[in-house]
Amino acid sequence: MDKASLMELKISIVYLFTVKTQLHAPLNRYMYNIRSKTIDLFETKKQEVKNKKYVIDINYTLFTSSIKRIRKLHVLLEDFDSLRFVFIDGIYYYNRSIYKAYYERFFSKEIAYLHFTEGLFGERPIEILYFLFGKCTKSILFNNRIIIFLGQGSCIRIIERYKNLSLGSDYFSSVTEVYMNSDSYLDYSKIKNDRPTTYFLDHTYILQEDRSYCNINTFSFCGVSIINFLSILQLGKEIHSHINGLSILQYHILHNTLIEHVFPNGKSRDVYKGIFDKRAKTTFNGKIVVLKSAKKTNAIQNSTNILRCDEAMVKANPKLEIFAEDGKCTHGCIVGQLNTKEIFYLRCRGISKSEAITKLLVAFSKDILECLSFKELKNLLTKEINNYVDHKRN
Amino acid sequence: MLNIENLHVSIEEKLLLKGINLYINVGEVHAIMGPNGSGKSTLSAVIAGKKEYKITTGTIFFEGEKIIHLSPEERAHLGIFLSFQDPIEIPGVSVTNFIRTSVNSVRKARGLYDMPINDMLKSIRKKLEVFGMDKDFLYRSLNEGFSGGEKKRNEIFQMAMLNPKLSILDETDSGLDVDALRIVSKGINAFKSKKNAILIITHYYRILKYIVPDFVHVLFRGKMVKSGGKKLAIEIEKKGYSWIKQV
Repeated sequence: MDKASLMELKISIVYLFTVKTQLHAPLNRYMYNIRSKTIDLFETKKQEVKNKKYVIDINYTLFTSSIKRIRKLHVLLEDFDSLRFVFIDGIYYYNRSIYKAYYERFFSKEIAYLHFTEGLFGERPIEILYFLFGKCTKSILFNNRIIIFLGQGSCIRIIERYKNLSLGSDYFSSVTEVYMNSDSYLDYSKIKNDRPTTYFLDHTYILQEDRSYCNINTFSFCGVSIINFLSILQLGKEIHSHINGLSILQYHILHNTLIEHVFPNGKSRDVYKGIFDKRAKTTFNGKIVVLKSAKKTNAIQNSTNILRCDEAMVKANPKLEIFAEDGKCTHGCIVGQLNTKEIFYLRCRGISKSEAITKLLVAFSKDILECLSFKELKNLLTKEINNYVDHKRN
Repeated sequence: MLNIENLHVSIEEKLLLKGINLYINVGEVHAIMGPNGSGKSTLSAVIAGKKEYKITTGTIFFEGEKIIHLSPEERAHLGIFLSFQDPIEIPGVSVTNFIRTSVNSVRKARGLYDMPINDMLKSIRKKLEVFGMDKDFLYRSLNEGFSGGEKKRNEIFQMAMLNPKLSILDETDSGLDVDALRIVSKGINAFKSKKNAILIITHYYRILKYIVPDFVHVLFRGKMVKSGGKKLAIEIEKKGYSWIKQV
């Protein structure tokens, strides 16, 4: 088969998919099943909690196994006012063949389903928290899967965070699927700032419809190995999708992004920034696909990286596949070091060298922070970034 | 205040300065003139402490102490200020933030407490009026998208905030129109006192009209060729640098 016919096949598959989503019938039934299951689970767990009188100030809790040290929770949850979903401890997985399961996407059996009705405006942000209270020192694989359904014209902000309180090296493997109906707005922030023994594997799939707007921010600060898969499918006209990433790391990280434009007048922008130190090995695979029907697409892809050490390594692979005749696509990758002239300028004004470097690095990461719509999270992250940049200097 | 003795400077084995002697006392204004590539900017960078330049022989004394081994920030703490020829753009750092950290770190080095924010803002506003700048200027990123005149004004504004003992103005007049030059030199004159000294590095006579120098030195091919009073600058303005080359 030659390339053109392959493309046609691809379009027809996508078209089938769109018809399916427009009809809603199979999707809804599927969702309904998941929903009823989760509600059942939720109610039983809620009763358990109520009987034991553990949690008071947490809005919702979903447990997949029993908890011992739950009383610590309220200390960890005081950052800001939000509606919370808490997941505690995943499936314990003692087998040695942990790596076999590592790349299985839908490993988890228990699913949380969040449905936001038509025209809902969420004033408080929604916080999804993953906790690990390791009972044993062996490593744990924590699987979770969330399906988020945004109704027409709804506006939601979601913050996702991870906390590992166990001693061993543990794996978080999360799958998030988002279905965005027309005119909906989503602001999704993923923050990975756990202890440096944790592994992360993150899959996010987003399906957007007419005139929807999504803003995904990924912050990766700590972890042995972080793998982010993020794919967006634009199934509608005039869709905006913005994805931003900031990583300040000493270890391994992999970003895989895919944005697919199917219908005309779509806009997308992905900006990834990174500050890497010590033996960091990082890969950025950014891919933008513009199909033949997606005319007047405007896509921007950008990856900027600062290396602070000779041993750090960055691989940046930008990929553009453009089949439409009328469109604008740009991509750029920069890998470099801090400008010595800038440091000298700051030092000449009496600012010490280390402080000057911190200032420049914080300034470097500022434009990613400006994409955040939630002010308190911005303040929290600014502190965090200051910490990490400082910490790495020593 | 500043004594430079027999200074030889090279970069990558290329000799840039070949034996410079300069004595600046407190309360004096010195001007260094010279054609392009004569080593004027090198001299200013060496005094400020740029690492790339290697000092082969000679020393620099500031208030009786050797400063060759000191880092740029330590020199700034002592009271040396370098106004850059082309200030670097730093996106993401606001002017207020920058000035606050800069002033506070200099104060810290001198054993003083951090300046309260209210006092800081008051003094910043006072100085803004002197230079005729907008308040919006404070919230913009440092030098990002500034026009040439704004950049130079920003440098002098920083100088007024830091209150250094010795300020080196590296081609502050270039890129300024007549009005901006008048405002900048008015600011410099207001700052000038008997407790500090100023070293002006320039191509042209025009800034020296407003800031009257006590001494004028001519630098040519890494050497001080001639020194004199204000008249020397006027002579250069008339005849150009070619007559010096013959000498």
